[in-house]
Amino acid sequence: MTEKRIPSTRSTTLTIAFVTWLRILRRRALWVSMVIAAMPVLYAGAMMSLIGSGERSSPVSGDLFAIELLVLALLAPMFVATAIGEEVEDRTTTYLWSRPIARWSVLAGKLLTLVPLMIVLVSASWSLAGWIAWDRLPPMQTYSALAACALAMSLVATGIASLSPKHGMALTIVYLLFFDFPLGVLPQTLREMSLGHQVRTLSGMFPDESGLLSAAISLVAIALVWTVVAALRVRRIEA
Amino acid sequence: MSAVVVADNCSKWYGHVLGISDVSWKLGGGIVGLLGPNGAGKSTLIKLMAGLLVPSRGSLSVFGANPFTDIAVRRRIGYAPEHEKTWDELTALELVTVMARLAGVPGERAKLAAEAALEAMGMADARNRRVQGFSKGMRQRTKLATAIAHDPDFLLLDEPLTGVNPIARADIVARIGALAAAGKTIVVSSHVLYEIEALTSEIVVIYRGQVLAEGNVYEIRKLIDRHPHRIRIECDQPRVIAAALATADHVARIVFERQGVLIETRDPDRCYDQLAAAVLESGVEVSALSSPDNNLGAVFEYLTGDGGRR
Amino acid sequence: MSTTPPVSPAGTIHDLGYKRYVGTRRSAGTRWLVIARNQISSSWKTWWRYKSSLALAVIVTFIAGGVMFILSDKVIRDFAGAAATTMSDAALPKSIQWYTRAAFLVSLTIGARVVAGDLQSGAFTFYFSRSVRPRDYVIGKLGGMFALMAPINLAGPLLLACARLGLSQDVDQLIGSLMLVPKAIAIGLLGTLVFATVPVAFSALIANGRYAIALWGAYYLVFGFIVSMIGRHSDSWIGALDLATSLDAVALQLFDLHLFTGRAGNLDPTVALASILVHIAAAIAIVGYQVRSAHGSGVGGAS
Repeated sequence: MTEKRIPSTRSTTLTIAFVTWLRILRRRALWVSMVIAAMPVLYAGAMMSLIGSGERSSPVSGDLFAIELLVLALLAPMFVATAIGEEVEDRTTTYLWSRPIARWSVLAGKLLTLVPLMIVLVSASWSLAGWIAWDRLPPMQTYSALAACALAMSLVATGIASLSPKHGMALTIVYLLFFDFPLGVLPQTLREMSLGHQVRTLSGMFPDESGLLSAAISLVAIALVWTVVAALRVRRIEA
Repeated sequence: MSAVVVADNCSKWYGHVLGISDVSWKLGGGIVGLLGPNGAGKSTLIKLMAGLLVPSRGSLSVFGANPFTDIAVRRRIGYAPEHEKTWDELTALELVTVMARLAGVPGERAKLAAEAALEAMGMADARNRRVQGFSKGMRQRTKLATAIAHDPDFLLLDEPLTGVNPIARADIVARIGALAAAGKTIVVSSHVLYEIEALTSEIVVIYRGQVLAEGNVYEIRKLIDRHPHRIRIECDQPRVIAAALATADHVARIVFERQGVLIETRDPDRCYDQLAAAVLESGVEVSALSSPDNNLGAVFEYLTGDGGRR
Repeated sequence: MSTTPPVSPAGTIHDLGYKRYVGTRRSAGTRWLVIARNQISSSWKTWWRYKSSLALAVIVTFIAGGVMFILSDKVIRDFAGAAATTMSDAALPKSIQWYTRAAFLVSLTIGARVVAGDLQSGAFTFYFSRSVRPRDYVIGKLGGMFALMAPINLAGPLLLACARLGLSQDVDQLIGSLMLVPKAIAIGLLGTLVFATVPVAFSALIANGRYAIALWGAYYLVFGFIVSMIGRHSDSWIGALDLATSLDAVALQLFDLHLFTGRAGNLDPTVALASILVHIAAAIAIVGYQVRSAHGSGVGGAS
C-alpha cells in the first residue's frame, strides 16, 4: 500500500524543477538560447578587431551591457513564459492542478531551474565578451546586476504568462522592449518604474546613474508586483 | 456509507457556453459510467470533481471537501484527462514517477509505485521509452498509470478508451475492472457503450449539461414507457407462443421472425410470467430468450434520442 | 410536354444523411485565398495581436499628419521660416520608423508563429490532406501576412503623402510634391514585404513558435543592433544587415532627408535596398523549401 500524505512544498518545487530541467535538456531551447547568448561575444569580437582593445570607458562597454540586457529580455520570456504557457496550451496543467500541491510551487519550481540557467548563460556570455573587449573579466558588480536582472525579468515573464499563457512570450518581449526599456530613458520619476534602468544603475557602468540602494529597492518592488500578479492569477486559473 | 461526491445545484458556464446546469447528484461508491453525447458536459463534471474547475453556481464536494481549494482531498483523487498531451520528452517511468511524487508518494517509493502502476497497465516493457514515441493506446495506459500510481481512493477516467484498438480496449477495461474490484470508486466516461456495459450497470446519463438519468441501467430501462420492451423468443413453434400472449393487454405488437417471435410489451414482468406458463403448457422447445433493447445502447438512444423526453 | 414529377406508387424513403457536395468548386489557382483569409480572420479575433499595433499605426498617422497640418499654418511658417518646411517634410520619412515598430510588434505576435504554429497544432496535416499544394500554402500564408502588414506599413505612409499633397500652398507646390505618393508606396511596399516574409521564414525554420519568436527577435533587435554598430565603426556594408536601419536609410534617401538621420545616416541606400531585397528573396525561398520538405516528408500528409 502506498503511503498517503500531501507532498511538502519543498518536495513539489524540487520535483517541478527536476522536470523542467529534463524537458529543457531534451528540447532545442538550450541551443536556441546559446545562439542568442553568443551575440554579445560576436559583437565584442567584431568591435575589437575593428577598433582594437580599449579602455573600459570606451563606447563598446555601454553597448555590450545594453546587448546583454537585450539578450536577457529575450531569454527570460523564451524560458519562463514558454514553460508556463506550454503547460496551459498543452493542457498538462490538468495533471498538475489535480495533484495535492500548492499552485505557486509549480511556478517556483520552474524559476528554480530557469533563473540559474539564464544567469549561467548570460554570465558566460558577459565574461567572454568582457575578456575579448578588455582582456580581463568584467567587475563583479556587473554580474550581480545581470543576475538580478535575470530574476526580475523572469518574474515579469511569470506574471505576464500567467495572465496570457498562450501569448505570454510575445507580450513579455513587447513589454520589456517597448515599455520598460523606453521608460528608462524618460525623466527621473518615470524611469524609476523601469527595470532596465535600475539594472543599469546597479551595474555601476554608467556613472551618471547613481543610487545603488534606491535602484535595488525599485527593482525588488517591480519584481514583487509581477510576483503578486502571478501568484494571485495562478490560484484562479482553471484547466 | 457517506457519499464520495455530492453535487448540489452545481452549474458551470464557460462564458456564454453551458458546461453543466443545475446538477444535483450523489455518488456513493463503486464504478459508475458517465455517458452522454459530445458536448453534453461529461468532461466538465469530471473536471469539477478533479478540482480543475470552480462551479459557477452551486457546489460540488468530494469526500466532503471542495476539490478546487482543498489540497488534501486531491491526494485521494486520481485523474486521467481525455487529451493526449503529457510531458512527452519524459520516459513513461519518469512521467509516472514525477506524478506519483507530486501526489505525495515519497521520493524513494515513488519510482517503485510508478513501476507497479506501469506494470498494472501492461506498460512494463515500454517504461524506459519516451512518451513522444507512444501510440494512442500506450498513451492511454500511461495516463491511467499516472492516475493510479499514488493509490487514490477515487479515480476519474475521462474517455480512457478513445483511440484505442479493440484488443487494447478489452485489456484496459479488464484492468479498470480490477481496480474497481480492489475497492476503488471509479467514474469513467466513454462513448463506447458496450465497453462501459462490460464494466458496470451503474450509469449517469448527462444530456445538455443536465443529469438525464442515473442508476442501474435495467431499472432505468423499466422507467422508459414510451418504448415497449422487446423480448425475442427463439423456438420451434412461434405461433403457439404468439397465440398464448396475443390477448394479453400489455402486449403491444407481435412480429414473427425467421427463427422465432418478437414480442413488444409494456409490462415485461407479467410478460415473462405468462411466457413461462405458455411454454410449460404447450411444451414448445425454446432455444433462446433475449431482450434486444434491454442494453445500454438502447437505453442511451431512448433517453437522448428524442431531446431527452421520456 | 408534362413536367409533373413521377409519383411513386409504393412510397419513398428519403435519405437525409450525408451528401457529397456537388456544387461548383473553387479553382485550384485561388485556394491560397482561403488560407490567406483564414490567416487574416484569426489574427483579427483578439484585440492585442493585431488591432493594438494597427492602432499604434493610426496614432502615428494622426500625429505625423497633425504635425504637417500645424506646420502648414501661415503664422507658423512666417514665424519658423524654412525650419517649418523642413520639419513638415521630415514628418513622413521619420514616421516610417514608427510604422516599422508597429510592424515588428505584429511580427512577434503573429508573423513568427505562422508556419511553426501550424506545424505544432497539426494544421499541416489538415491543409495537405486536401487538394492544397505547398505552393498554395506558401502563397496563402505570405499573402495573408502581406494583407495584415499593408495597412500598417503601406496605408500609413500613403495617407501621409496624400495629406502632404492636400496641404500644398499652391499648384506648383502640389505638382512638386506629387512624387511623394509613389515614394510612399515604394517604401511602404518594402516595409510590408520585409515584415510579411522574414519573420515567417524564421517560423518555417524553427518548428516551435516560441523559439521562432525568440530567434526572430534576437535577429532583428540584437543582431541588427550589433551589425549596425559594426557597420558604423567600420564604415562598411555590414550595417545593411540590420533591417530596421536599412529601411530607414532607404526612406531617408527616397524623401531626400539629411537631418535626424541616426544610425541610417552612414548607410549607403543602394546597399540597404539590396540587403532588403536579398532578405525578402531568401525568406520566400526558405519558407517554400521548408514547407515543401515538410510536405514531402509526410508531415503534411499525402498530396
